[in-house]
Amino acid sequence: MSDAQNNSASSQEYVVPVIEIDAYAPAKMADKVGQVGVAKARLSTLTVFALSILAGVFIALGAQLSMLVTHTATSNFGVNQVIGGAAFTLALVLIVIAGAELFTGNCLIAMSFMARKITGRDFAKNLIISFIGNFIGALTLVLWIYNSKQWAFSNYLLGAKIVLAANDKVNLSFGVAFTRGVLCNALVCLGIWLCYSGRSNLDKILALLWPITCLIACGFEHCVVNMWLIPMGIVLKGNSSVLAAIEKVQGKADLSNLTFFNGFMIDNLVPVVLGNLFGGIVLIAGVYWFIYLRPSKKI
Amino acid sequence: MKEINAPKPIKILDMDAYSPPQIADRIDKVASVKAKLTFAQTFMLGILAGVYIGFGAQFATLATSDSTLHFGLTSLIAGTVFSFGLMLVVIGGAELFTGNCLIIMGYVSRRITTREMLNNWTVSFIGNLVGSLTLVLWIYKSHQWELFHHMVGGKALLIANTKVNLDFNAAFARGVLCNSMVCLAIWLCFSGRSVADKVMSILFPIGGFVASGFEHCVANMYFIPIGVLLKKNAAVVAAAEKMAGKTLDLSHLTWKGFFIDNLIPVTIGNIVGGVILVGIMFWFVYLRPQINLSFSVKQDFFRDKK
Repeated sequence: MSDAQNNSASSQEYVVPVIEIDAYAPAKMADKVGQVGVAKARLSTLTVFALSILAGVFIALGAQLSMLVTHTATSNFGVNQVIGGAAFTLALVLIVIAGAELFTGNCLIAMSFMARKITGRDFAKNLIISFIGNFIGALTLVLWIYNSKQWAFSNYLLGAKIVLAANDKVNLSFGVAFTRGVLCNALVCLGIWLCYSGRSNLDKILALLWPITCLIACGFEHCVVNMWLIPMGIVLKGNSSVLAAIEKVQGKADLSNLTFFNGFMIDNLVPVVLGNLFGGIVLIAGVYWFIYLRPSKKI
Repeated sequence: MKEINAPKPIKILDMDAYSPPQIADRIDKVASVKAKLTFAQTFMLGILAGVYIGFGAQFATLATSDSTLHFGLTSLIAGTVFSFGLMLVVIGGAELFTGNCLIIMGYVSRRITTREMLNNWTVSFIGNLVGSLTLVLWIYKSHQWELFHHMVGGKALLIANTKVNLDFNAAFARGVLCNSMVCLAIWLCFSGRSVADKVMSILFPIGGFVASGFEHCVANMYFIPIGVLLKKNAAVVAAAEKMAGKTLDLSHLTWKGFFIDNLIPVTIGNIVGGVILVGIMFWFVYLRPQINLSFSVKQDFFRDKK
């Protein structure tokens, strides 16, 4: 151990710059992710829980904004999707800079686990607590948004848009929901990965803008977004004015699968969470761990 | 596990954005700076904040007055231009009542007294009201609301009329959501170092809350009084009715409607959102004294050793 330390110290002697203000290089980023994993594992359970409630609230704020800015669009589908995605970036800006524990983003600290800096138990505990906290946060915002009657905007069109979006999500087949979940969390984790490269807020916000806009615009499935969107749709389904607005938008809609247990939990959340885990842990964390952090062994 | 025990290198120059625990620490300290301001300073800075937010509000009214884009996009544009108001407050420096809800963090960690905190809130609230009403007067005298066939005034009237006709619950819930986002914007700003950081940090939360139609008590101190004044102008009412496509019931748009139906529920909501949902929540996460409420014995043991 002491040998290794000496070696690294002497090899660094001629490369240490006095002041370094450049963006972090990928190898350095991988190192930082590893350290962040250790820091997160050190947080007390209560802190992680409180921060993950905040993350659920932040995601729901972004999701409602993205619903709102697109709900009256009748043409230019693609452009409106992009604008909705850009608005959703709000959520990730809040999470990354203000600090919160998001289930999907935390998949990235699998790198720390793979590099054996934290135990599997620490990693699993963080994911489980943040999942529960995110759920509670998102449901809290369902309550607040419902009370604010914001869904009555544009003659209940906003409510109709939310119900229809939720209905689309619960009617996806397992394979499709899983694949969209994989793609979604690959992009979320890439967004967070890019943030580790930046130093200032500006760096981080601009780095987040592109991957997050892309994932919402492309309609990929993010499990925490769905924790707000689908329960909101289920609550609004009971409102007759919203139902009338839906009828005006697209005639009769079959909302029979829009239920909490069967529709939301089984048909949507299970495949999407599995997809998110696969996309974040295997495709991003695993690949970057393999490239930058794996122990150098000759095969 | 060796890395944890290894001595940490000392950073001489730190260029990175402040991390959340550092932000909490900085806001905690700012509270005592704000509490030390004299009455006159707080009041004058409060007036400035009212004027600044009023500028953002009138800009948003103007930008959306003749929009033929769809509703969602129009509100997004309104939000984006409104964030100019908070940029002036944060970068230019002013005492905004809603943003000052965050000094609760300094109160809970006993840096400032109850009296100092309440003093700051009351004085900045009154200052904001005075500032906003001053701007209402100037904008009214400028006849800017005559632009584009009185459409700017018509839009201002429609905005004000919607706001005074909210029921208590909706106004309260929108107030809570609004000030959570305002305080989060301030929180993000404390993370940034440069002006560009701050501008970008403000853009998303403030643009977001205005676009979502949430209720900000200081913005309403501009939006509603200007509507009350413009109600008397027949050309503006005609423009507003043309824009809405129906005859308008403006009976609630009075000073009583402003104070009772809107300002009270919105202010209570703003206090709940800023103080409890953001201030206390972040204090709990980052600044609370170490109490052993944690469920894991092993982790507590671990933390003590550090």
